[in-house]
Amino acid sequence: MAEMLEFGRRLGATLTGLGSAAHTRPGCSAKQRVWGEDKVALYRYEPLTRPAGIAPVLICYALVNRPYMMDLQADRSLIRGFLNAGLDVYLIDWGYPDGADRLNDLDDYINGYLHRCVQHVLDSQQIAGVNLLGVCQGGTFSLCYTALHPQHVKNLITMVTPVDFKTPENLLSKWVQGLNLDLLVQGGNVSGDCLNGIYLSLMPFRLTQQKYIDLVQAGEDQRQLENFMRMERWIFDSPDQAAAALRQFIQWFYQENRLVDGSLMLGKRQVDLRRIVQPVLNIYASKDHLVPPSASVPLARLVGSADYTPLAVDVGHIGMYVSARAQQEVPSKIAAWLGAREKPRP
Amino acid sequence: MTDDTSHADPWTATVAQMQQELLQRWLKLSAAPAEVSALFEWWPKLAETAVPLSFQQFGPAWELYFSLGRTMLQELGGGDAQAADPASRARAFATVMETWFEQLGSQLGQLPNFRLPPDPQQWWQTLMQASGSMPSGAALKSGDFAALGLTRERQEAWQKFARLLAQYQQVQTKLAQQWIKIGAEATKKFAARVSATSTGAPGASMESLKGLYDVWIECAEEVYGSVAHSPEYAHLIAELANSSNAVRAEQQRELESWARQFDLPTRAEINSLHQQVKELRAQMRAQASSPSSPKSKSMSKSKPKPKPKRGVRRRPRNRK
Repeated sequence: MAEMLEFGRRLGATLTGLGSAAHTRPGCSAKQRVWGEDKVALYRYEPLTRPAGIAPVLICYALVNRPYMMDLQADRSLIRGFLNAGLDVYLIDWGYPDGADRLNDLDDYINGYLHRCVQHVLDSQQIAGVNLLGVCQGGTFSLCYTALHPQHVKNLITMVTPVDFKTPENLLSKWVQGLNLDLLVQGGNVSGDCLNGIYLSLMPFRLTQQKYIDLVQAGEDQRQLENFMRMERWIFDSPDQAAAALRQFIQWFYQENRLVDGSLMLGKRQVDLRRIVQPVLNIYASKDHLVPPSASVPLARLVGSADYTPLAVDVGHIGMYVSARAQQEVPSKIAAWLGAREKPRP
Repeated sequence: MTDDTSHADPWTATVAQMQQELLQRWLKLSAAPAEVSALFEWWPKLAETAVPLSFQQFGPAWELYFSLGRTMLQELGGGDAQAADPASRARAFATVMETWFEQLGSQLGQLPNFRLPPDPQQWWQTLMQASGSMPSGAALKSGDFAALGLTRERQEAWQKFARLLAQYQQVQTKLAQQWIKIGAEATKKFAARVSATSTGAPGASMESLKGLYDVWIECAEEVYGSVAHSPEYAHLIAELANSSNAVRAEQQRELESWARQFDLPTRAEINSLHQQVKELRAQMRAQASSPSSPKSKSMSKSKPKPKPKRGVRRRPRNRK
């Protein structure tokens, strides 16, 4: 009885508080747009401390969500952690594809936009290789890129990255095996709402029910409500997917698992992960329901690198970006790992 | 809480009004304890008002939670409190869940980017007749009759569309049946776990509604997880996507045909143009990067070689 009264009281406060928090905006670190093409933009973050003397880090994010998750707010920002460690950080923003981009395929994204972002960093910094940090689907792109252009990547870091797309824990993979891709892309780009619907269906009770009840339980704190609104905005701010690229991604990766069996071709060249011989740091989330650890861990046996480091973080997929544990562990470990591989200057 | 109702935002005003109503009910509580149940009418009443669309996200979650609250009150605070042993409470909660699942089952199968009108067949038939692509009086039917005569192609298209719609609706029904099954399993699991508390076995606590709710979510996700991973469910999900995409493709074909009648640009034409632009850009890029291109020559003459930073490896020249 007292609990219900309390819930009613909190619900009222939560609704009011959410109204005030509705206009909260994500993003906290200053950055400059340094290159762009079509809807793709490359940003460079302004330093927060003395440079650590490490080659720049280029973050390649996924196409399926917006990259500001990496810099959501001051106390939930992996990018801020990198900047505080003295890293020089670049970020690729793929933008919001529309009908004009429906023919963009994976070759365009990886050998095109991503390659030209890397070229920009190399040219402007006059260096031979970047530290490439690929996140989620962007990690898969980064693996492909490094295998195709190994000379441009000094060190490779993959974060919550699917490699083996057909492991028993991968629910998303099971669902898309029977998908008719001709029909899927016949209607053009696939809407972000459609993808979100599928993601919610992976854990429908937690993601469409419990999280809102939990919000009421914890919702009198205005800061928490603002955090919630930033997350809510990010979760549902999903760009539409360019039809050609999505079709290839589902068919080649999810349905045919080509990255693992070495049969993937991009731009008429084979993507052979054994060509990745530079140091590799593979960070995965041990409670990830979108990219289960079993999808990431096989990278160890697929790359040609003799310097391979796995790092399991005890969080979920989203927790990798925003949890306190990840904020504490991930940027410092990445900076230390990169620092240890930086050649001492004469 | 605020009593400021001067905001232009109708949502803020609505919240403030509802809070005041709630406060009035609280004030009456000591005099009339039976009114406690009115607390749980708060959300449904609020939901009836014109709340912003975004807030309806909360609707199903809170509605379920309030349903639990109502049931809990009936069991614990109602006239028949003596009967409120853990097993009967669990059964009562399970009944709430079953009802909720039945309602949910009827709403399933609608993909976010593909929503059919309530009677899609009738809706499209009206549209086709309005556009002149179907004579008035004709009906959208998926019969086996052969298409003949001047409108042969159109007749076949109508038959196909009607058949695809029927297939999509069948898959929706199959999915709804799966969800009702998941609901039944989940409520059984939930009732068993709650009943376990009475025997001292490890399980849910009946002391807190939130604790109970969390147990419900846990049970539901466990059952759903086991079903969702099954080949049958995966097949059903793919079938749902494929059948809805097939309907969508037919709709698109119909609209394109309509656009052509009025000499309006169609998606197919725009796609062709995009393809041409893409090929031209690729050719231009290939020419620009070719060593024999004037641009490459002038750049190689005028641009000094960058001086590498100390301690950093020089870049090889084999660019794409």
